[in-house]
Formats: sequence, C-alpha cells, structure tokens
Amino acid sequence: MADKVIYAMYDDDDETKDAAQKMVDKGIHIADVFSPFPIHGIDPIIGIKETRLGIVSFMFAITGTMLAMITIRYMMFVDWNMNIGGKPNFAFLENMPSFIPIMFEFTVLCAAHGMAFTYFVRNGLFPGMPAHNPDPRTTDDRFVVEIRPEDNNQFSFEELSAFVKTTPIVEIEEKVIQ
Amino acid sequence: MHKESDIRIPLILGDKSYRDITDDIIRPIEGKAPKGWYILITIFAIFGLWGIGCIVYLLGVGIGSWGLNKTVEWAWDITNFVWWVGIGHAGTLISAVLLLFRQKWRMAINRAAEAMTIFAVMMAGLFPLIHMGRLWVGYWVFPLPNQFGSLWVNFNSPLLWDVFAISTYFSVGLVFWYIGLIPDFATIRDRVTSPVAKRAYTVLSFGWSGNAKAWNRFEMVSLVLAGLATPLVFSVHSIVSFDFATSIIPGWHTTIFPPYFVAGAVFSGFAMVQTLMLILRKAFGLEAYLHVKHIEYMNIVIMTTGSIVGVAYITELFISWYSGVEYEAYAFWNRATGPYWWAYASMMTCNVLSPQFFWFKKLRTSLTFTFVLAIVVNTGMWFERFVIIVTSIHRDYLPSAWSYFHPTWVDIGVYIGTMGLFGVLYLLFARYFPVMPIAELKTILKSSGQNFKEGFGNGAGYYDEHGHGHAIISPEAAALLSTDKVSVKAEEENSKEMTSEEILATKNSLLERLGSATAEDKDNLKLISGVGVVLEGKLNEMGIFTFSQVSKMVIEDYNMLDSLTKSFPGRAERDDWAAQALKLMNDNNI
Amino acid sequence: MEYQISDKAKKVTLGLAALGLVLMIIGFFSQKEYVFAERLDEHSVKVEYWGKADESQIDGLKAKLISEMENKGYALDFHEAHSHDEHAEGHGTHHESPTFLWNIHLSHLEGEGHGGHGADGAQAIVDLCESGTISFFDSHWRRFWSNLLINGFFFFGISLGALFYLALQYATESGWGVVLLRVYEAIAQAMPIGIIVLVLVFITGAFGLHSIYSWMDPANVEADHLIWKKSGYFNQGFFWLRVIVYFGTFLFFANWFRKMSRKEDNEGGTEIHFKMYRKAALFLVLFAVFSSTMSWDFIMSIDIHWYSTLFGWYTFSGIWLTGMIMVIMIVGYLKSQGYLELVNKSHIHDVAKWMFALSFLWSYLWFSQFMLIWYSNMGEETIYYWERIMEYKYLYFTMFGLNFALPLIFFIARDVKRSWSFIIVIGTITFIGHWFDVFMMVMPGTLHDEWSFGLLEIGMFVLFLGAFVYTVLKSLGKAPLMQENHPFFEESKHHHF
Repeated sequence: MADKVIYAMYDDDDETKDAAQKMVDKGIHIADVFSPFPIHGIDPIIGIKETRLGIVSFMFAITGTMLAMITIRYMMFVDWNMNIGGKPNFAFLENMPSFIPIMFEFTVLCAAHGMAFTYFVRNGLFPGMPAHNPDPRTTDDRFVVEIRPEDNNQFSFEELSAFVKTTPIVEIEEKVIQ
Repeated sequence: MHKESDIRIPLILGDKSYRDITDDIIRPIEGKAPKGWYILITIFAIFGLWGIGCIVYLLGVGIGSWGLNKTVEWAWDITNFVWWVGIGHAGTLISAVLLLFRQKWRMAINRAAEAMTIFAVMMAGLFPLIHMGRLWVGYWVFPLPNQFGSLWVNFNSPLLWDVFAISTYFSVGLVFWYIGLIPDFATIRDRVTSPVAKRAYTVLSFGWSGNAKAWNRFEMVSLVLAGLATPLVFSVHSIVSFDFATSIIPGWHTTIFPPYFVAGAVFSGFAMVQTLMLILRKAFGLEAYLHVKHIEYMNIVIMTTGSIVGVAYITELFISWYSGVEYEAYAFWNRATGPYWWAYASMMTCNVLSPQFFWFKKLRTSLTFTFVLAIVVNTGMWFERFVIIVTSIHRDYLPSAWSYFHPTWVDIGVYIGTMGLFGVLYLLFARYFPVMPIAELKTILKSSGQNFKEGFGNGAGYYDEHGHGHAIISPEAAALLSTDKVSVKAEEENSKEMTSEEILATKNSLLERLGSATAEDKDNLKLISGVGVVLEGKLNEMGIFTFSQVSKMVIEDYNMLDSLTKSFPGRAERDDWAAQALKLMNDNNI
Repeated sequence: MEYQISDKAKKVTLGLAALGLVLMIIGFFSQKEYVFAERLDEHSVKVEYWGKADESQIDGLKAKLISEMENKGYALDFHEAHSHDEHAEGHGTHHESPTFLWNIHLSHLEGEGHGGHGADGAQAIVDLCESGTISFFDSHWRRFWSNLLINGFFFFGISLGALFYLALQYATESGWGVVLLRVYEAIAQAMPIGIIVLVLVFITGAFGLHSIYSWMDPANVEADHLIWKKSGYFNQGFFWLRVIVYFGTFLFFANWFRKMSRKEDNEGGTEIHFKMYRKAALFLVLFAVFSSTMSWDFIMSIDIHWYSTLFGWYTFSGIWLTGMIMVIMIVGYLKSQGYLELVNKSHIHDVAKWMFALSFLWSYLWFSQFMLIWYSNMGEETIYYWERIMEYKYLYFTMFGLNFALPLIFFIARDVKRSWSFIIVIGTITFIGHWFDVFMMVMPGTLHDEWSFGLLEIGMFVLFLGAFVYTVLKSLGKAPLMQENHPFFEESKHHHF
C-alpha cells in the first residue's frame, strides 16, 4: 500500500484549485501539484509555505557589499596607495563617492547569483537532471494532483480514489512506485 | 486575479487554449526551418566572419588601423560599445521593470527582448576589449594581484566601474533569462520526439518538473531578480554615462547624463525590439500574441523616452547658455555648428523629432511606419553617442591639435561584423528557443485572452461561471478587433460548421418571426447586457437591428441564435434579452 | 460613500495651524543678523559688521557684549578702526567698508584670576558672535522669507506630486489605484496654499523686500557679469509670465481632472475616461518641461551663479515622493476612521512600493549630481556643495542618509510594506527628511552660515501642515470617496496579489 500513489489529472487551473480545496477540506493531504504554470492561490491550500529565498538574497546582498568594501579598502588603501587624477587613496571615506558604483554592482552581483544558485540547489535543477513530473502533459495543459496513501492513513486507498473521482478529473492514474 | 476591465484590449487574440499556446510557440522549433532562415543566417554569418577577420587584422597590425588619431582617441569603438549596451537595455527593462509594474503585455516580448539584451551586451563587450589592445590579457581588467603583471585596478576610474557594471549586467541578465527559460525548455522536452532534441532539451531544462513548490520558488526568484535588475539597469547605463560625464574632457561635464543615458538606452532598446519583433511575429505567425496593441504600447514607450531624451538635450543646451561659462557654451555651440553639425542634426532629427510622430494614433498603430521609425531611432541613437564622444574631443585644448575623425574600413568592418554576429546569435535563438514565455502566457490567458474576456470558444463556460465582462469594449478596442485578422478567423471557424443554405434558412425563419428592419433604424444593441461589439455585429449581420426585434424573441429564437452565432450558448436566455430590449425600447420612447 | 471632515479632525488640524502660528510669531523675533568675529590672539579679537544698524543699536550691542564678558571675568577695551560715518556718505552703500569694525583687547578683571578652567576670552567672544548671542535683529526678515519659500515650495510640491501621479494613472491606464484616486485629487486641490505663498515670496522679492533672488535687483544685474548674462531669461517680465503659465496650467489641470471625474460619477460610460486619458498625456508633456524650468526659476536661481542640468529632475523626484507620502498618510487616516474599506493591503503595498522606489530614485539622482560635481571638481560647481558641507555638514548628510537608508532597509521586506506602523514611522521621518531637503536647497543660498533652526522653522512648518491637511480633508468631503463609474473600478476593487 505504501508504495502506491494517485495522480489525478485536471485540465483547468481553477478546477484543480477547487478540487484541491475540496480534498483538503475532506482531510486529505496532497503531496504535490504539477502544473504547466504557477497556479495562483494554490500554495496555502496544499500547505506550501512562502519561500525564504528573498531572505537568502538579502543575506547575499549584504555579503556582497561587505566584500566589495573590504576588497577596495585593501587594494586601494592598505596594499598600494596611489594618487590618481587628484583622488588620493589615503582615506576611504573621502574617496567614497568613487567606490559607490562598484559597491552597488557587487552587491547586486552577489545577491542575484547567490539567490539563483540557492534556487537551483533547492529545486534540484542542474543540467541533465531527470525530470519527475508524472506525465509529460503537465508541462503543456494538464494539471496533476499527487496523493500518497501513506500520508493519508485514515482513508483506505479505495476511499481516496473514489473521492478523487468526485472532483472534475479528466484522468486518474494509480501507480506503484519504487 | 482573473479580473480585468472590459475596456482593456485582450492581449491574446482568438480562441486559444493552454494547448494552443504551447503549440503556437513551439511550432517553429518542431518544424523545419524555412528557407529564409538559412538565407538570413548565411548572410549574417558572412558579415560576422568579415568582422572577425577585421578584428584579427586589427590585433595583428594594431589600433592604428582604426581611424583614431592623437586628439580623437575614442571614436567608433566606444560609440558602438555604448550603442550596443544601450540596445541591451530594453530586455531587462521589459522583464524587470514591467514585471514590477505588472504590465502583462510584456509577456509577448520579454523573452526575445532579453535574448536581444544578452547578445547585444556580448557585442558591446567586444569593443573595449579590442580597444585595450592586447586582447589576450583582457582579464587584467579584473582586480588581480600584482603578480599577474598589472597593478591593482584603479577603483576611482569610471572605466573600471564599467567593467563591473557590464559584467554584472551580463551575468545577471543571463541568469534571469535562463531561469525563465527552464520551464519552457521542460515543455519542449516533454513534447519533442527526436531523440537528439529530447536529450538536448533534457539537459537544457535542468530536470524541471513544475511542482508547486518549484513554482513558488520560481515566482519569488523572478520577483527578486526583477527587483535587483531594475536598479541594475539604471546603474549600468548611468555608469556608462560616467565614462563621459567625468572624464571625456577635463573641465567639462554635465550632471544630467546618468538619467538621460538611461532614458536613451531604453529608447534605443525598444526601437530594436520593434525591429526584431515585427519580423519575428510575422515569420512565426505569432500575431495573436503580439498584435497592434503591443506594438502601440512599445511605441508609446519609445515616444515617452524619446521626449525625455529631447528634454535632456534642450536642458543641456539651455544650461550651457545659462551658465555663462564660455567653455560650456562652446562645447554645445561647436556641436551644433562645428564640423560635426551633420551628426548633431541627425541626432536631433532622429531622436527628438521623429518619435513625435507617434502622437498620432494612426502612425503608432501602423506596422510599416513603426518598422521604419524604429530603424531611424537606432540610427539617431548611434549619432547621439558619436556626437557626445567624437564632437566633444575633436577640439582639443591646443588648437594645433584640432582634428577630424575619418573611419577606416576596419572601423566599419568591425561594426558591421558585430551586427552579423548578433544576427547569427539571434537567429539561432529564434530557431531553437521558445521566443515567448509559454508558461507566463498561460497565466494571463484567462484574464487577458479574447475568448475568456468575451466568452466564446474555450472561454465560454468560464465566462458564464465567473460573470466576466459585459463586453463593453472601448471604441478603439472594437476598431482593433474588427480589423485584426485573427479575430475574424476565429469567427469564421465558429460558423463554418453549418452549410450556407442552412444558415440562410434559419435566418429567414428567425426574421419572419421578429419582423425585419434595416440598418437605418438601428438601435444601440450593445446597451443590452450581454451584447458586445462582436455580438452586435453578428446580430446586425442576421438582420436584427432594433430593440423591437429583440424584444419579440422567445426561447426558440434564442436557440436558433445560438446555432447561428456559436459563441454564447444559453447566454441570451439567461440575461433575458427580450425583457431588456423591451425596457430599452420604452426608455427610448420617453 | 461620503466623507465629511469630523469635528475632531477639524479641531486638530486647525489647532495645529494655530499652534504653528503662535510658535512662528515667537520665532519671528529670533531672526538674527550676525556680526563677524575673528580671533587674533589670546587677548584680541576683531569684530566687524557690514549690515545696516544705527548708532543706538550698535551701542546696545556693545553694551551687551561688555556685560556678557564681564560675567566671564573679562574687561574689554575697544579700538574702533573706523565707523561708517566717515565713509561712503551719500552712497548709502555698505559694499566697500564695514559698518563698524572693533579691535577688542581683553584684560582680566581684578580678583578673578586666570579664568579657572583655562578659558580663552578671545574665543569666548567669537563663540558669542557665532552662536548669535551677540547679534542684531534681522530687519530684512531673511529667515522668515526663506522659510516661507521653503514651506511654500514644499507644500506646493506635495500637491503637484499628487497631481502628477493622478495624471500618470490616467495616461498609463493603471487600474489598481482607482480606489485611491480621490485622495490624489483632494491633495491636488490644496495646491493654492503653496501657490499663494510662493507668489507672495516672489512679489515681495520683486519689490525688494528681501534678496532671496539676487537677480531681481537691478543693481546686481549691473554689477554681476554672470547675472547680466542670464538677464535674457531672468528678468521680471519673463519670470512673471512663466509663473503665471506654470500656476495657471497646474491649477487648470487639477480642477479639470476633478470636474471630469465628478462628471464620470454622474454619467458613467467610457467616453470621459478616454478624454481624461488624452488630457493626462498632454499634462505630462507640459509637466516634463515645467517641472524642470520651474525648479530652476524658484530654487536654482537662489544660487544664481551655480548650475546643474540634473537639478530639475532631482527636485521633481523629491516632489513626487512627498506627494506619495502625503497620499499614504491621508489614506491611513481615512482607514483608521473606517472609510475606504475597499482599500486593501495590496493597495497599501503598492503605494509603499512607490515610496520605496521613489526614495531610491531620489537617492540615485542626489548621488549622480553630487558624485559628478565632486568628481570633476570644478570651482563654479563645487561651491554649491562646499557651502552645504562646510556649514550644514551633519544636517546635510543625516538628511541624505535617512532619506536613502530608511526606506531602503525597511521597505525592502514585503511585510513591512503592509504594516501601517512601519509605514507611518518611516513615512513621517522621510517626510520631514524631505522637508529638510528643501531646507537645504534654500537656506545655504539665502542665509549662508547664519542659519539656525528654531521655533520659526518648526512653527511655520506646523502651521502649513495643519492648514494643508485641513484643506485636503475638507475637499475630500466634497466628493464621494470612490469613483464607482471609473472603468477600472472593478479591477481596483479586486486588486490582490
């Protein structure tokens, strides 16, 4: 039993959302939803928390600013002082306006790449990774709700499958997974 | 969020479903490339190779093979650099700024514009690299320890800021673009049949599965990247402007440069997007997704930014007089009347005057005119950079050093070569990448698809359930829809199931009961809730013109109507047109 | 849903205005004209004064100085270098020699010993002069006029910013903000307050009551080559023509938008909307030109020798931002009173986003102007920042720092943009911060190093704030709060993200 999984397929995003709501109201735990585009408003229904990637990006941004400041200070003031074009490198603060552009760029660089990298890692996205959407049509115009009986021990497999069939599904697949 | 005002023109025309969107966008990838594609890519490749040849020659004999001289030591190279960077501004602006402003029309163009951005920045980057002379130590622009042969880079120099700005812009733009591409690659991966393509798109799609959490993260990443890219776009061209604003001639500068360069960049970028997209939509048959309204929106952006640039030009001129400083005044006087007056005149005409034509609706909705004007704008923007750079420096502090710049064949060759390389890259993109964001387009189908807004075809059921729109479409929308081929095609498809005799018979029996009327005593049928421009046209076609005719309708007539129009099953009955018409008729009499 | 200004709001706003008036009147008498003191050595100081003062005023000042120094244990010995009686009779000019110049020699009073805490008597005199303890009353009321200009421009700017955004909403066919548009309209309706005050400042300037605009004085035009060169643009006739055109245009559009949206309320349909759409575009075109020239005319010409091409856009960004802050504050007030129930968190989020974006834009333009002038280091341009940094250093950079960093750090988070308490605190601080921005645009050019911040400034700001908010709330009551016939009303009502 624990190895089984139900894939309920819909052909409309609003119907998927309504069906998911109905199942959740009934007490069914939905393992995942696969869709060709983000369905707005489904995250709270199936219990997905707001991602914290924004915070990650902010952390990377601060790191970037600090790194840029340290680097500039080291190269321009500690390691090799110069007086270029009347802009002497003796005081970081006095030459600050010159350094703002690079500090800003480096901040953005770190924030964007740091977050993008985290995003790839968290989603398991790398070149050549195998996809695990249950049906190739879920990247086209089908929406699949995945229900795992192991998450829903209070219902029998038949009950689950019967309830899913009361929603406007277009296909249902019961699959044994390894 | 599927709520959109009725007076907004649908962004996706015709009767589209999610499947149709996938099909329409992927079709060019799945099919065989047309002959034109091979011809074009060959031509561009020849130009590109020629350009590479010029670069190799230049590396062999030195920078002297350009037309530079002791006074004008910056000319076409930096002009071309800024020109390309400027063009590279529209992409990120469209996908980032317009995303933050929730402008849905961006979705028709953002993918292609971002590709354009990335290729344009690549072309731009070539010029300073070549100009630095020793291309093989180009990495010295980055802060490297002294052991590498150079001192630490100078963080006080605007040219170094440029290095950071451009490389940040390029890499962030690339990541932004690619993250958006991944779900669409997955779509292609799950459709293509050829094993080579399947494997290629499997690699490209990074194993995207489209589960809810991934989409959740995807949206956050898009939003944050947009938030980061917006100030980035501003900063990059501001920093490019600092190259000139701080250092092109000691003793002269102007503070308005940063924002005005940004406006100019957006201006030229959008013009380039117009040039490319007008061809692309035609070649790939994407008129339903990128129609006249999109073009018009872009033209309004061009007009606005062109005017901002114009205000900045005039501000500079005025302040140079206002300052009372002779040198300041001379710098501008010399631009307008000196030996380079022709460049200044071209810049003023192309950048300030020509976009003003877009105040006329007729012109900004004309595709041919838009295409021509977009090219004019880009020419003008090239001249703008030329004026700022060459005109500023050709009058040195020593009159004996005054000089004039003549481009050599290498100058021209490298410039044309970058256009060729750009063309090759862009054609490859158009051939193998989805040129519009498939997933994003699907999210706006229900709010901005014509069928969903007006309630026919795939949108019919949805229309009823959600009580969408009352099809009060603005006059301009109506004009657009009635002239647009796509919408006409959709109508044709709807009515072709009946034979023409059948239609005629039904029509006659309908008119028999309702009484006939002519176009002269036509009532405004749109006042009936549920009747829009499209439907009114259909009713008129059938010979129904007046409220009195509608008021006589009974259930059979409604059904007959449904079989004729095919678009609003059950609608007339539910809204009780007859009663409404009766009321309207009475109102009219009073 | 109709709104009527409540009695309490009336009392609070008018009370504020009254309180401001009282403070301002008290502050009015604290305007000073400074005398200049230079320490020569431990025992001698040079004090000079170039302004106008009659014999009795000078004697009074002298007596005050003597008594002040007596308390500190010093006796003063005056050597008058020359007095104005000997000089420049008949010319009435004080350009050539000071009104008085005292060389003061200090000696310790008997029995006081050597000022126990090592105090330097000469320095004490300098301090007394610099702090304004020893100074004349400024009979030109320079501080008063400068403040009038600051507040007039600041509050005019708020209305103008709101009007600009209103036009922008129509021209860009934005849907989300329709439920807020009446607030923009009402704020734009308060524009006459700023206009009247600005016109008052210009008229008095034209009659020579103050010298904020030095180009208005024909003597200066003659004497100053750079002003003379500008006289084709800065002459009374052309200036007044421009003033009439600016104010006429802005008032016309403010009223026209109001009238049309009221008409739409009654008549419905989409025709009026498209009319407004087109007119809004026209307004934006005019605004694009006027916002720059206006800021040159009203503000940049205070420092008549200085010029910056970016100045107009910089001023504009500040105007726009303060307009948005005022909008969100009024919305916050109305919501707390139970109105505007259709305005949800998403609308607030969007307005806060604008505050964030505009703060960033303003900082970007500030930095661009500052950095470019700093970098190229040309005397005729750096003078502007020199004055601001030398005399106003901490105030100036605090102003910039707060206006830049606060919105940046806090408004970056989504939840903050939806939290009223954050919005109100940050909004208030940046609102005041941008008042100081205008302060910094004006004061260094009019009072130079003789500025101070006291009851006059606070009082007048509070007076204007009270009157302004009162006017806004009053005009809010003249129309329904919702434009239910606006074609995007439904879109705005269901705005949610």
